[in-house]
Amino acid sequence: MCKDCGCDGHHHHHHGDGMHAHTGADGKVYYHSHETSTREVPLEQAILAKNDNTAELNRAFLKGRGTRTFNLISSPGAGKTTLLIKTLEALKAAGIPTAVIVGDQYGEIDADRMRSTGVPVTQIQVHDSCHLTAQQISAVLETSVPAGTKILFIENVGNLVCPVAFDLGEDEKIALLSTPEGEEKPLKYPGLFTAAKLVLLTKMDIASALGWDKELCIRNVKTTNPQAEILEISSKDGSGFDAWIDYLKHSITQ
Amino acid sequence: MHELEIAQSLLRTIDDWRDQNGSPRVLSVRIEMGLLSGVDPDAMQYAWEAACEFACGGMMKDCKLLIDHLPIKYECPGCGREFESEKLVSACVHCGKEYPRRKGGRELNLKSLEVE
Ligand SMILES: Nc1nc2c(ncn2[C@@H]2O[C@H](COP(=O)(O)OP(=O)(O)OP(=O)(O)O)[C@@H](O)[C@H]2O)c(=O)[nH]1
Ligand SMILES: [Mg+2]
Repeated sequence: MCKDCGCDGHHHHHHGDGMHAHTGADGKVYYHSHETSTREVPLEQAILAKNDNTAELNRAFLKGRGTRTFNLISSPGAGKTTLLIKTLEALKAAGIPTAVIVGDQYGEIDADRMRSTGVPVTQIQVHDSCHLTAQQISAVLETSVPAGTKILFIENVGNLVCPVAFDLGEDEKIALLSTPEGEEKPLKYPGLFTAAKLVLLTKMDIASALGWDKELCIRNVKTTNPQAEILEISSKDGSGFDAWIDYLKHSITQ
Repeated sequence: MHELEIAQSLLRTIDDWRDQNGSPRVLSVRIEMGLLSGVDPDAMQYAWEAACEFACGGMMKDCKLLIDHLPIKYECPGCGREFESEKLVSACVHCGKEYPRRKGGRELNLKSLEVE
């Protein structure tokens, strides 16, 4: 920006001869000397580099423990906690040790719901924030993931947009999209769906009552992310759970 | 909603850089973001102004945020050609084959500072 005229540099500048020309808001061309030189300093780096670096440390820690980590992201109420309760029980029955870190703005409600499974659950309260950060995970990681944990689930704050930018150190992001949210979310909020390796279509038990169009929804997911795996699931009637549990078992034998 | 945190993260980086480089006045900051970065440009500008108000002991007040929007890059596995698009596409713009491979789109980078 030019200190003399306050112009923002989007129009033509002649700086070579020490004179500075620009067209003012009134349409006139102004010339004045431009002694105070400014310079451009290249500083190429990710804006969230600090978060990314901490995420890498989290990832290294979890890898060292032999723990595979999934970051579950969805709109509020898409069914993350309900899915996890049933999943933790199934994995427990299969002899696979798990742990959970859950982020909400306030309270321990979701943590208490999941603690009924006997699995260690750590609640992080993010207060006015809308997502978990790598620093928040780092602060609780050692105490939240006992040695021998095979799978760590991180239930992110219910939000379709903000959590996506913050790498937590997970191996995979999993997007949940519930049938009552309609078919168009992947096109309207593509960030999450392009970042997710797996998209879980949840609450399939009520899909027909809603008139939810499965083909359209899957096409929209694929347009956003052709590589995504898609599983249909219901935490109410258990449909699709075998494929989901197989997916998890397969991921820890890789 | 997370734009404020992104603005603060930018300011921390700039503050560190100024500390190591004689604390010059920063007139503008150029960032680039992909269409899939999940950052709203208007919210970002608003958050930037709010965050700059008191940052670096008032030295960042009136510092402009310049945003370059990056298109999404694709590579078609069918015809092998690359192309750029301002929106998500489900078919190659050249040969029409379904689901070209997306490359990037989620960038969120600091590019440069204009300093006095
Ligand atoms: N019909 C049906 N309802 C479900 C299913 N899964 C969850 N629900 C209901 O959806 C509501 C929200 O479920 P939660 O599991 O709390 O959703 P969440 O994603 O954890 O919510 P937040 O943590 O607040 O973002 C509850 O009333 C659940 O009983 C399902 O598969 N079918
Ligand atoms: Mg929940």
